[in-house]
Amino acid sequence: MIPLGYILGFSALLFGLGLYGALTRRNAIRMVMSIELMLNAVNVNFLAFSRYLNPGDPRGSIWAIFVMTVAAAEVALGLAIILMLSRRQDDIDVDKVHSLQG
Amino acid sequence: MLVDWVASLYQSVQATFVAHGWPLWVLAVLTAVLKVAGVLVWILLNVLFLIWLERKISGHVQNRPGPVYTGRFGLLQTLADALKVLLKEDVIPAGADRWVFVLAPLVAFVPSVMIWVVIPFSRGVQAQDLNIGILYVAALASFTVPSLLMAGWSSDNKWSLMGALRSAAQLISYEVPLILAELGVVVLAGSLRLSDIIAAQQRSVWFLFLQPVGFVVYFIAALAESNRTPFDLPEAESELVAGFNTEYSGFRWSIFFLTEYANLLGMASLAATLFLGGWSGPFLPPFVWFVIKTYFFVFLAMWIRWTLPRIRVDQLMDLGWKFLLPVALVNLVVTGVFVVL
Amino acid sequence: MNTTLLAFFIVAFISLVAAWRVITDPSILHAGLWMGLSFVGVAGIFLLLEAEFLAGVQVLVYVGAITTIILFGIMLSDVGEVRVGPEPPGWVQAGAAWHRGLRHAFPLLVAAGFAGTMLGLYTQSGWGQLRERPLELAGLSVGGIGRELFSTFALPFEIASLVLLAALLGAIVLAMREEER
Repeated sequence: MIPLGYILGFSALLFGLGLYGALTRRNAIRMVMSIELMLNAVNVNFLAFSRYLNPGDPRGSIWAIFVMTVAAAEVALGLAIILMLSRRQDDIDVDKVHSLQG
Repeated sequence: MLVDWVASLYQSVQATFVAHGWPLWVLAVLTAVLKVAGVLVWILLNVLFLIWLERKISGHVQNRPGPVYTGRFGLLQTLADALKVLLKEDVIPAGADRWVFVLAPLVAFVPSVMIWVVIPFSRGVQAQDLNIGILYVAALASFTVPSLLMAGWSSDNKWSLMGALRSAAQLISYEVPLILAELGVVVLAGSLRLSDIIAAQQRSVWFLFLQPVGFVVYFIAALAESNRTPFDLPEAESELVAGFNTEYSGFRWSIFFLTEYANLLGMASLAATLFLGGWSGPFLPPFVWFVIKTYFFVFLAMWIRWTLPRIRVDQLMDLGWKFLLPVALVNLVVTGVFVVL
Repeated sequence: MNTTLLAFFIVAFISLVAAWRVITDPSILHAGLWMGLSFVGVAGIFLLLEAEFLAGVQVLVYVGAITTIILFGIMLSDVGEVRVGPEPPGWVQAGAAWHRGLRHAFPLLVAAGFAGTMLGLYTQSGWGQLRERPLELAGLSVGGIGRELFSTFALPFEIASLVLLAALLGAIVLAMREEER
């Protein structure tokens, strides 16, 4: 059997990698990918806690499903924005997106 | 009969293992390997036959005999072709993204084999009766799109990329109605497990009669999912050379070819399980029923392929999003209301 | 060591390596494919936690939808990579100019530090006692998830569907070319 700590460690590592990617990468697509990794880590945590603290309870899975819904919506919108950026200025470096700045 | 014999054999082997104190996981691994081998042999034999069948049917539809020279009725034609393909030089284009190019056929092929884990061949003959049966099949089918994109991108060829993008757009569009049509069956049976779905059909009637609309949607979407005419735009020879597999040759190309037919067979057997009651039927042994029903769908798909012309891209998208999707949704809602009442 | 634990280590290792490659691979398309592999690994973890339904949904949504959309986005936007390679902060660059490998190892160090902190926090709280408690074999039934989803969570479920609809419309409007509007 897998100790809970191992799973939490795995998800924390995954989250840390995603966090690092989201904070340091300036490529918009890579940022979206990193955020997806973080959301995945969150899902693992939800499920791990629900399975270990209250094994028969489906609520951990349900929250994970909601997280997936949000992730899917976010990717669809994010990619649409990235596509528009690449059409407008041929570049998806998020630091160069400042046309909305006053 | 055979099933009982295998079951008793398994029992006795298990007893031997327990008696000698051998670890049981060896037995588990051994059974898994045997099951995988059985499934692989089943798929390969069927694909060999399917390719021959397709060429025969296309021949007769076009008023010509099809392959006749190799073996009786040209039955060995596929074997000869397979040997020829395997002996060919396996070219990887110079500009190709090597690893992705090599991995793409495998990513396509492995899920198409894994689908057979849940397909019930006969009473109790199923590699693993997963409780998420249909979801498992749908999840595996979703590997197809990334594999095509991988193949198209890594070939470093505009035809491949165009073909891959088209194909991905098509597969995504038709996956939605496909899954919605499957959901209609799931709502009626009250379970995702394939053996439960068959049992539910044994209790009432074939779901073909309860879900005629869902069946039509499923069948059209399944045709589109397996990239067959009238939905073969991803590899439309006259427009795109050969689509995503333009740069593939020899062994790797044959893997893609194999995948295509394995998917056709998988779709047909799933259709038989979901809508025609799978292996259940009178007089004949269950396995024979399963094969008959599967091949009924295979024949239907081939017949359609060789009689209908290819449709245009805009018609393809319109059909998927503006016709099949609403129809599938309405079907699902009506089914739900029917079940609740 | 039992087989479940061994399987966990293998799957977790694959998933983490893939996640690491997502942020360090010079090719953006390869990064997308690594991301897909990482998602499959997480689905494996779900399987090990005996949540088959969630594992199926994970593969369907993350591999079938999200990875595909991202690969599509990469191919359609065709901008390749901006500023190739990772860029650690100045103090690391100064200290690690002699060692290029550290540039790739840095994300791992940060992640390990983060994980260490989190695990420390977990053990500080009451969950620390759960470390050795084995997973009970109460299966998660699909029916249970469905019933809970449509009773207790009916309102969030509807809101989630609205979110998806809004995202769908928004994506279509955003991705339309100017002349089509």
